[in-house]
Amino acid sequence: MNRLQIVHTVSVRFGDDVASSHTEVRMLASAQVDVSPDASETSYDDYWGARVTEFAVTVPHREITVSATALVDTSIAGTAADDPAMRIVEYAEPTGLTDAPTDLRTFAARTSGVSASVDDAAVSICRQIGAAMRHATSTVAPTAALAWSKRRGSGSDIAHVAIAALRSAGIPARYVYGYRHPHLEPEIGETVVGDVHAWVEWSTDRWHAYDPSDLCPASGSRYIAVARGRDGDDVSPVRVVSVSDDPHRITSSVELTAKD
Amino acid sequence: MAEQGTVGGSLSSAPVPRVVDTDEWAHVERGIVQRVRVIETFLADVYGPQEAIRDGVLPAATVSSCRHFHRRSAGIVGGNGIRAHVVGIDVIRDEDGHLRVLGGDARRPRGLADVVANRGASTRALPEMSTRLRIRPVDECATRLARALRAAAPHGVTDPTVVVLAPGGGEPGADEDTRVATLIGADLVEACELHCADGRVWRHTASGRQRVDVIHRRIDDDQLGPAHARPDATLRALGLLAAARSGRVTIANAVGNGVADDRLIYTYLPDLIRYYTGDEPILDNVDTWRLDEPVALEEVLDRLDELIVKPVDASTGARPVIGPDATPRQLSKLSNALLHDPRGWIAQSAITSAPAATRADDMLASSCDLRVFAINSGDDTWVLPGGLTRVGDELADTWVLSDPSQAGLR
Repeated sequence: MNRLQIVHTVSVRFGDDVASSHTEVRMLASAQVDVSPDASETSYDDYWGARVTEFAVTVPHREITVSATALVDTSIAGTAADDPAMRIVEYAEPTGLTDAPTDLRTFAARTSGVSASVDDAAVSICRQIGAAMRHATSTVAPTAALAWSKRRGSGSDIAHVAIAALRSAGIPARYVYGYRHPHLEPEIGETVVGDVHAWVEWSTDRWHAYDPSDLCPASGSRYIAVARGRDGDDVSPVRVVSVSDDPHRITSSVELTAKD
Repeated sequence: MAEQGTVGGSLSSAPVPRVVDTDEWAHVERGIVQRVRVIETFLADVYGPQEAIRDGVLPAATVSSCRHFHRRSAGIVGGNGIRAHVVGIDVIRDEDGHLRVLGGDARRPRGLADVVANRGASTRALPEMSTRLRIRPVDECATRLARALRAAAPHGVTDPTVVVLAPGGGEPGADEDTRVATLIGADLVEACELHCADGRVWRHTASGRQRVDVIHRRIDDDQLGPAHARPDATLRALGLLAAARSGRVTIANAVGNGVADDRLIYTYLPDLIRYYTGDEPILDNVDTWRLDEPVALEEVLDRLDELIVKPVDASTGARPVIGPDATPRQLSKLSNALLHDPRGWIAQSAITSAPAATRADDMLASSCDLRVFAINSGDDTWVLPGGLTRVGDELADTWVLSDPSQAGLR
């Protein structure tokens, strides 16, 4: 049995004390979620099937910390539940973030044209996009089109570009947010810093997962999916609103420990 | 239905009421109840298992492209499971004398308080007539609406506090919001008076804070969230939606109901009635062209000058274009709009919505439409016996006869 212990910590820092704020986080459904300062959390499953925990802090505060701890069986973790039939249509349509510019469309169409199968085309589209884009540690552009024009982006940006290209070639695709273990062969008992990452899935006979930033299938014990949606906006790991919409900084980190 | 302008020209300032006999009203009532129940089933389905879409009754793309399909409101429903507590449905008589449905409002139907006000005016204007005919009273709508809102309170709340949430002064309809609050004996509040804490919604009063259990909202989804257009409303909107989602406050009508008002989705209502109930629709729709179907679009573009073209979204403020009245320039502009955004419009036969004729008997024969109101308490769907008869921009009262032996006025 391959188990992975996951501790995902999110911290939100405001420039000054705020009187009141509302936070929602998307974490593994099996995670124990702790919040500081104390707040009463409620949780629900959103339209896309992700577990959302939300809470309000109504005492003056300058910082919020959320930690989610889970122990998952990596052989079954993150398997998506069956979706209502409508989702496949929703995953095939462009969104504001994933509208493909002309050159990306042309590239996707051409790649599809020379591929032996839809799955081959999808892999090839993702690989070429991942290879063409320089990696950034944080998001560089609000839309796929802009990230593509810069040929640069974070895992999330690259996933958006890949999704835009896949959909423009008629392949339903979705955005996955989750955790990635840095080592191909995780060592049992060793705690390492993992990535809070984004990758893509496309649908043919079934859903296939691929990490366009790492040019490899997003499967096996290294990838744990937390939430899926049309784009990053549907599955924001953290969303914070404060009383006067004060500026805030969000940092997110995950520690992963492989277990027997 | 027997209907007639009763006293000729003597009432130039007060619109003549429409008179509807018992039998025809019974037919309207059955048709409205069937619609309202199917709208409720549809809303639960579209924000839930989406079976009608899976089974091909309604195209997925039509729903997913609806601006009022608010995915964030999935799972938010009042204590008794009802989403459309008060609904307005607009009907019109076609050339063959059949009543047909034009559309409806399951978000925040306007006009309920006008029905009560009009009744006062029409009985004052026609004292003899209104006593001689036995007319079904309309004032019961106040207790019906109050009861339906209380019935929607969160589980475990036995004596709920209901408030009417209005956009506030200056906005169109503010006066009606006040009258609705008075009718149902609830306080009128603006969003800034509500406060979210401890997962609940509170209201500041002179004697401290008071828990709010049911919010009868008269503001649009966009002002409430999830799209929360106003930045200052954002935090409150999130708190409100969170409280509603966890079943600690009921928002009535529910957020997201606009998906059922979309005029393109409305064209599928007869099919949805058959699908959900196995029955034939009692009231059919007005013939409507779906412009996202290329063949229909082509036909409509050819016949623009004969048809009435309406935006699918009645809340944008975009006005319907009445083909026979439009200038060539307006038609060419419309034609471009349709080509650019076929999903954004539907077309209906202009004959059914022709502008008011000048002679009372003509206008009552065909062109005026009627807004009917239904109130759903969960146990019971009640149709207000009356409604707003609309003739052009004028609103008239609607008298429903209570005695079957009276055939109305001929």
